[in-house]
Amino acid sequence: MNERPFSRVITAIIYALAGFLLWLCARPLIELTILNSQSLLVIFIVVMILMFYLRMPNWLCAIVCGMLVLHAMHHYFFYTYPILSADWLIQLGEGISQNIEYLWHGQPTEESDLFSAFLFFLLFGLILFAIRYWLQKGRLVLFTSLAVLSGVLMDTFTVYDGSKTMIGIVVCALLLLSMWKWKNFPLKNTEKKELKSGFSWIAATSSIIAVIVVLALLMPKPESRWAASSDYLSGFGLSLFQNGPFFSGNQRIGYDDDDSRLGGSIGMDQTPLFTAAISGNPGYWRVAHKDHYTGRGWSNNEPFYLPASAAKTLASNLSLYEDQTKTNKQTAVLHFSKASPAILPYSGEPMQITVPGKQLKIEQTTGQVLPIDEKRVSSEQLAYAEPVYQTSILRKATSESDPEIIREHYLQVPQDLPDRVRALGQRLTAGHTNRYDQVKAVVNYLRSSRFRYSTEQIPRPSQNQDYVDQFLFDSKVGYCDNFSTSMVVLLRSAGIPARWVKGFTSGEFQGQVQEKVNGKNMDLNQYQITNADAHSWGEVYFPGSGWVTFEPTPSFSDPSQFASASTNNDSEGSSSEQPSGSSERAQSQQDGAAQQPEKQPADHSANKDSDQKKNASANNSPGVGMNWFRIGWIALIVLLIGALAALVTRKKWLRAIYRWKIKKNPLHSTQDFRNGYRLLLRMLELNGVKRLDTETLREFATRVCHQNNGNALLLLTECYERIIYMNDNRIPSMSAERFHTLADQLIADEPNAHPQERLNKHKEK
Amino acid sequence: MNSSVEAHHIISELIDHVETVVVGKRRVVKLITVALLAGGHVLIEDIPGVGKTVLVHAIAKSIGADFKRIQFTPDLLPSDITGLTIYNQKNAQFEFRPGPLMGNIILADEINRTSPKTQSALLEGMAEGHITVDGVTRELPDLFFVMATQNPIEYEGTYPLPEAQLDRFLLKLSIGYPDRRDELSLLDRVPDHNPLSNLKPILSVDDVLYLRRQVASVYVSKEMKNYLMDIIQATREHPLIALGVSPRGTIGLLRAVQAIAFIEQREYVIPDDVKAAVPYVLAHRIILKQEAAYENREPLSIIQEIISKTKVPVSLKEPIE
Repeated sequence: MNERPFSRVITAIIYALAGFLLWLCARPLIELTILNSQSLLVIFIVVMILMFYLRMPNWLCAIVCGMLVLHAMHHYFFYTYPILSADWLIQLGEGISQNIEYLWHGQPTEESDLFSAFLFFLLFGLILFAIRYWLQKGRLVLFTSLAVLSGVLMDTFTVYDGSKTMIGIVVCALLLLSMWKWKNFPLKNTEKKELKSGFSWIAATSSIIAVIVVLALLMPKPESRWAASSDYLSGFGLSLFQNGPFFSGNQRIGYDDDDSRLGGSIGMDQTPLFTAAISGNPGYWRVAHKDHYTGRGWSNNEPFYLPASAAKTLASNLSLYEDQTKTNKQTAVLHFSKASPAILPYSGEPMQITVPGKQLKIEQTTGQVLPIDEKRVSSEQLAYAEPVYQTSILRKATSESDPEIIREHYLQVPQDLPDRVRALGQRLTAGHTNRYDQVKAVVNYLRSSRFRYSTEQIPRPSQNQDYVDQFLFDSKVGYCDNFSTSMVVLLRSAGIPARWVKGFTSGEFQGQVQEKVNGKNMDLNQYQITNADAHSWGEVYFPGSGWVTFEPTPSFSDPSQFASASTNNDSEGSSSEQPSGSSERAQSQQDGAAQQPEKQPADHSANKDSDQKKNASANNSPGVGMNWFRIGWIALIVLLIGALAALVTRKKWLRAIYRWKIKKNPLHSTQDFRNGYRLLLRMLELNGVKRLDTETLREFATRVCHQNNGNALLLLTECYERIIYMNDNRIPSMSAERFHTLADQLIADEPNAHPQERLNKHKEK
Repeated sequence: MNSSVEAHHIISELIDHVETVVVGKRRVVKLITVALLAGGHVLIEDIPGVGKTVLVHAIAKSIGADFKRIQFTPDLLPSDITGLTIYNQKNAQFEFRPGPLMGNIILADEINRTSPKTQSALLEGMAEGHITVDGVTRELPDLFFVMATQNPIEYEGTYPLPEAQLDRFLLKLSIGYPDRRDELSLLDRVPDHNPLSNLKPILSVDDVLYLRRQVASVYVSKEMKNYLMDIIQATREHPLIALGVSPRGTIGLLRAVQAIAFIEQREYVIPDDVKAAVPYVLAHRIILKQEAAYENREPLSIIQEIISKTKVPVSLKEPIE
């Protein structure tokens, strides 16, 4: 019964401190992992702690917690989908069930980032519930010591420098404990004394904490016994903790000409290289292809350049597609940053490459286009043919019709290629009669869960080990180079001409820009390509169609557009210049269930790791996905703010509603009277006068009348008693006017003064 | 006396009337009236000299009924109160001489001074409405109202009433010292004559019987019955109570509550009536465990605790339409 007058405030402070403490403890986790979004975590904590503070039932909290977990998953992995769509939920469910299966079969190493992140957020939710339990049961010592322990562990065993956070954690924990202690202190008899003791308590504890902190900072501290404790521990198999797939390392990667020796880990680097404003669908940016696999990598032949000033030369030398591939003419404008190497990437089949004031040359064997002085350029204008492959035609292709020159160049495998690689290539394609299905079989094999995508902790092949063999049979973990090289080698083993292509993925969508192309202003979609977007993939030759791009790396989606027979006409009709590709969406109808939906950029910048982004894919055009996402977010925020405002001001508007309802009450029946009376009691409750469960109405009414110096409630109560204890359902014995007069009297003396004060005044009288 | 208005008028007149004799004890007077109207009996326990006997006497005299007073003493025999059969030599027959118990209103003064044997003769009459003398069962009159007084049992020369017999009293009251102000006014008007002798009867036996029928028809809603049962149940489940309230107690409580409502001029019972009745109806019907003594708990305080913990039915929780 006897609560501290401002105990709700203290409780609020305690909850806030608990939330803050949790945030401090969780921050290192966020900073160390790919989940580098602080705001998400803050929202998570704030929402849950607020719900706990408002004493929402556990089931409601659990629902909200589940929604927050889902939202986090959406935020990290499926952000290109509209949040309200079911597609990503289904994908999430599939991913999780697959990972559970791995766990079940004792292959915990197979689990993906998706699953790790999901478990992380689930665990985070559970921790929040544990905190609620601790707060309710007063197990604060346990909570705070766990928090401090987690801080210590983070600082010691990871690369995270927690020295500042540690201070925060300790101070926060001490404050929390002191607030708690004070809350449970015996009550003083008056509010004034209470307040005074509260202030002195806060002053005393905070000064003690301050003294402790200052002393601790000034004290001499011995140097760490371990040179680097995290290194020390990595020897004991804890390395996963720092270098696991979940943690980013420090290596750098960019575009590199030398592919003669592949393998080892790569790092992610967000340095922007160039922006590309394009009229068509986002596709991969091709820089060069390589033909000769050495068993270690792709050989660098002596370059042989041709000048490429004329459009004609360009087209003849960089020809990628043959007659049966439909193409759409597209335009692109690229702007290079200072960090960019001297490259001229192109998408599709280039028809014209223009660099202001520069002559260009083409490397014949790799298809690489370069400025003649091999120096970095600032911008590039490109007219290119965007291919739309006809699946039906691709399916007709067989090995017999390959031209001799193609067979000569693109079936090469090293002499010492292990037999099992060769056998695997033949086995994978054996079941299929046409080239397209054969390629798909190999691609699907590589994209299956047998292989894990990672850029970290990739072993280099040993001196005598074949790069592909090591990946396919030994490590089974790797990044684009592993997958693309393996695909090409497997296909060549099966007698399918293929080559290895390097370049960049389509990058991150930035918005629409206007570019001047050939004197005309065009609205183009601009993409940002960074070092981390460097990529490699495979191309397969189809007689009659030319070179078709395939994406063997899981978590990247195939950039190629395949048109099935039914949409042929559409794509023909919409050829020529299409600014934003809304009708092309129809073309991107994918064939084959294994084909992942096309990746589309989305409005998102928080996520630094481009590889994670490749997990996400969407069917919608950028605009739609973005809008849904934004609208969803804004609606959510507005809703939350509205709910909060409603909660804070609930006394006001509830009072207004009750008053209105009482006024409107016609008092035709006893039911009306009952409703009116109940509303009056609720109104009184809002004013701080609450009836106890064990108090009779009359006792309560007497109490209220004592406070208010009137007998309105007593009179109303008598009438109400008659109705409920007599079951008298005839017309109420009180007239409507009388009821309203009494009700007005009762509500009129609204609590401008606090009820407690009024009570005190009454006592003084 | 046909209308209820008149009935209420008479009751308040009765109470006022008695109060002229016993100053400042309106609460007790009211409660005794409750017992009278509920058809129960009253036990008044208090130290000597606070006006027990005068109070009871005043009430008895205000009702125009056959009033008997029995002064209980250690040597009183059952036949002294029930009456006895004697041999009438004149017509050579045994004939029954009714004792003081055969009246309408009995004042059993200092009931705990007499032996249990005599007490039980009185109690049989109270419970059954008839007495058995020499193997013949004789009916007591329709209006049979016992008001007993007793000194607190710690005092010398008392035989405590057994629990089973205490149960037969509807109410157990104590009078307590009067207020200072009341006692002052008492001093002012110490009369030169006995005020009791001035009292005139206000009610007849028929009036009382009529009022009793009225009381029995006071409406008790289902919620209220449940509320009563909640309280009764709580006495049976309380950790410090060895023996809870019997069903006789439950019925008694219902009657008392109805009577209180009637006296308050209502034809229906409200929770306040229950709260008013419970301490007097239930406190003497429970037997505490040994632990209660260690905690220095009295039956009354435990009953109060039960009341203060039982939820009151107010029908407020239903949704507002």
